[in-house]
Amino acid sequence: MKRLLNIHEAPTILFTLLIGIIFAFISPAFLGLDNVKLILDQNTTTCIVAIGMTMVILLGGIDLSVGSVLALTATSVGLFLSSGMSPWLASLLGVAVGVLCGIFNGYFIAVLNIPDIIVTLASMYIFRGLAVGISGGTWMTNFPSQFQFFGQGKLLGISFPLLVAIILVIGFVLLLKFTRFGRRIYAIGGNKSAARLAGIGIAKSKFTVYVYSGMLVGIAAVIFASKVGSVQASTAGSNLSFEVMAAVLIGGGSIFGGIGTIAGTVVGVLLMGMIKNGLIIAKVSPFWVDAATGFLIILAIVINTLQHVRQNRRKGGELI
Amino acid sequence: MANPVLTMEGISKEFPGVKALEGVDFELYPGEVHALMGENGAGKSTLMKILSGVYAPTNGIIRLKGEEVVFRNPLAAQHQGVSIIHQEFNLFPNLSAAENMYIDRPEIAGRFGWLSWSKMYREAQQLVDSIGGGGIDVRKEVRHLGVHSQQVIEIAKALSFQADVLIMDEPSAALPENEVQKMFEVVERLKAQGVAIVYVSHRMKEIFEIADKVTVLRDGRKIATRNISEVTEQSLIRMMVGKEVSQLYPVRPFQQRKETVLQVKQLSLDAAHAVSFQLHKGEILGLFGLPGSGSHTIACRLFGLAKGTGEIGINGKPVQINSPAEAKEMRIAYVPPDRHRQGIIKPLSIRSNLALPILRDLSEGGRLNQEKIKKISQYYMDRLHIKSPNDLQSVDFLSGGNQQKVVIGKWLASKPEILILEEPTRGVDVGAKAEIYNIIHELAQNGLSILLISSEMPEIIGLSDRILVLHKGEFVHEFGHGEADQEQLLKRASNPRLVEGDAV
Repeated sequence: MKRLLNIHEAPTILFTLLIGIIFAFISPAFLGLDNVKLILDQNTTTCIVAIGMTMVILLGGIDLSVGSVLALTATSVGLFLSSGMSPWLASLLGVAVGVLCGIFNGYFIAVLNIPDIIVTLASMYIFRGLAVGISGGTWMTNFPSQFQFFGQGKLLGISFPLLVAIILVIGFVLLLKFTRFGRRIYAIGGNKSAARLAGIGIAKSKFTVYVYSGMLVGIAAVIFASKVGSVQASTAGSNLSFEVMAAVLIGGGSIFGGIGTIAGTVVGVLLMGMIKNGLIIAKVSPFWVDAATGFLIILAIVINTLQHVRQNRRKGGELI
Repeated sequence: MANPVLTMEGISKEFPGVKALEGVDFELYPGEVHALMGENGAGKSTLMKILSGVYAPTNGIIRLKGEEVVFRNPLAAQHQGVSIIHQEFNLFPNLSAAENMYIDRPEIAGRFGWLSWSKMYREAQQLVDSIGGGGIDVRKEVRHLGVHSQQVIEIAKALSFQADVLIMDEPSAALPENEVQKMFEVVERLKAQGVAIVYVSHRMKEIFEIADKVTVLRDGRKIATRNISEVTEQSLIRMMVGKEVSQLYPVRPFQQRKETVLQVKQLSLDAAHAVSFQLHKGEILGLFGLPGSGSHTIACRLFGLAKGTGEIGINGKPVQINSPAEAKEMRIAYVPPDRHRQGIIKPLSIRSNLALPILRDLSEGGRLNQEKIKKISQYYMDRLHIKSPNDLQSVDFLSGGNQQKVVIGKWLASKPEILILEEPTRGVDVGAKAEIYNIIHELAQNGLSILLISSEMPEIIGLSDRILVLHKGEFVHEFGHGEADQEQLLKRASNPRLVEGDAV
């Protein structure tokens, strides 16, 4: 039991279970199969984007631009489709747009060594602006019916987006746990100078992470466009950056880097999704969702900090 | 004797304006513990940085097992069998002990090139056990391990590179007393395995306990290499300090003791244990101890940066000091040891830096009185001879000595009664040093009470009216005016028990 509690994600998981039980008491429908499916389905895009954000935050970095990347990619896909391109090709090119955005961020952050918060703040505006510009500010709708498969189709009995999310989660969990690339991310986030001394190329790792992140946002954007059936460049994914950052932190990630897991992030995403859904089912005004999310973040940080304090108490350390 | 595993021949290193090393030869044999000794600034760390690939020597050759080598960086040195364990460990706190040893190493790959955790844990545990760290679970994250265990992990990491040469920089500084013996056991095992160890330390007692040979550096030159059986503590100290103390210091005549300004009773926290002392008006009181002896802790406590037990009295009144702001109110000022990190705000001008501690006094109805600031700034520029075209220059462009004067100046501007100086001339050139010494002397003459903490013995001896020696957090000796010399001071600070016939 004690060992279980020592797992970094334990508090978040326990808390998620607790919230689930509370909602189930308030409204039995909450744990119904349909509702569980709904929760999972509603959060696939967030979850996919959060994978990339987990890696960014593990490096000790931050990315404010993912919402704009989503808008730009989704808008591009819309344009590709309206030009008569096949849904598969349009989607593939869409993902490529996401990758290009990642390369853009990665180049300035990793190669030119400009602080990530500045680069992604700028690119947040740039990508959003581009999206609005190329769409002419109008809604993109009337996607061909084959395109709906990416957001609403089913494969092997489960929804296609969910399947994609599951595969990506498993893939990146393995990548982080079992490859040198993955372990380098943890090393850099844990102690940059020790990483340098161990011969780890910090710039290369950072660059790769931002490219991966761009790719993931690209995939999420295709699903998003297909699921919603329309894209408005100026609003698509407008809150996404903060939402996924919140999910990473709630899932036990440390804003200082080095600590956190994709599994934890997934729990974070689910917890946020559950609360949104549960409040609606419990007929609480949806206006309270944001406040609840905010409290969750604070709670997560407090838990993080308490753990940190407890672990460092013995060490004395430097006084100033 | 066997062939040396490592030879360094005629190593010199020049930094702009400074010769850190001049023609140093050094030889190391397999299975020996070779102590490297010298005062601060003698060139020990420069030599070790050259050996471990951090610096390239200006001149000289390094041979490893007979072959000439050039280390491009620490990793290259490590791969060729020379590893260094710094005083501050280079570990990843968030990763397991095993991963710390094998991070980013292709040799622990399993199938398809994927990392094999079981193989990594197995090999790491074997290695750790082989040097006597059997109690350590290598699956644990390093941040959950104690200091000794962390050190063992550092050593094991070095060995995982098949180290022939292991440099240990002040390995006991981070360890509590009861764990030093454990570290020695590890070192003995390494010796038995044929690893050559360079042991850099100030601590006499340890040197005589663990080392086979000792090399002494002074002022960037090698003074001698001897078998440990051929030297005594006395002779070592003499080699380290040389003789003459230069004329850097103002002559401070004996002072009649005036009233007590600061009274400290039974102060305990962290590294300091039940410390009591008094500081008198116009006195320069030196605190000397080896790294980790607690002098820094005492300074932090007095300036409200750390909490602890014990009583502090100022001018006879008991006071509580819980923050630097409160300390300032009590007219205490503190010039911290690390100028860059703690002293100056680099992008700001000299004027802004000087005004910083007294902004409250300079504001009138919420507005800063620029005229007043200018006047004060000009005053301290002149008074401390801060060399700069004007006081609007950002301090980043000043030399180390002038930066340090700015730090001293900003605290003088707060009109303190008690000035704590910690390492006031660290990284400052000789000319500026002499100037700063004169300033300190004058300040005391004008009635300021000064607590001087420094690791440079000549400085402590040259300036202080009295010197208190700290050993492991306790005062072990007091030197009165003119009583101390470097030999005595170092002896008391490194091992007070060695001083015979003297009840402390």
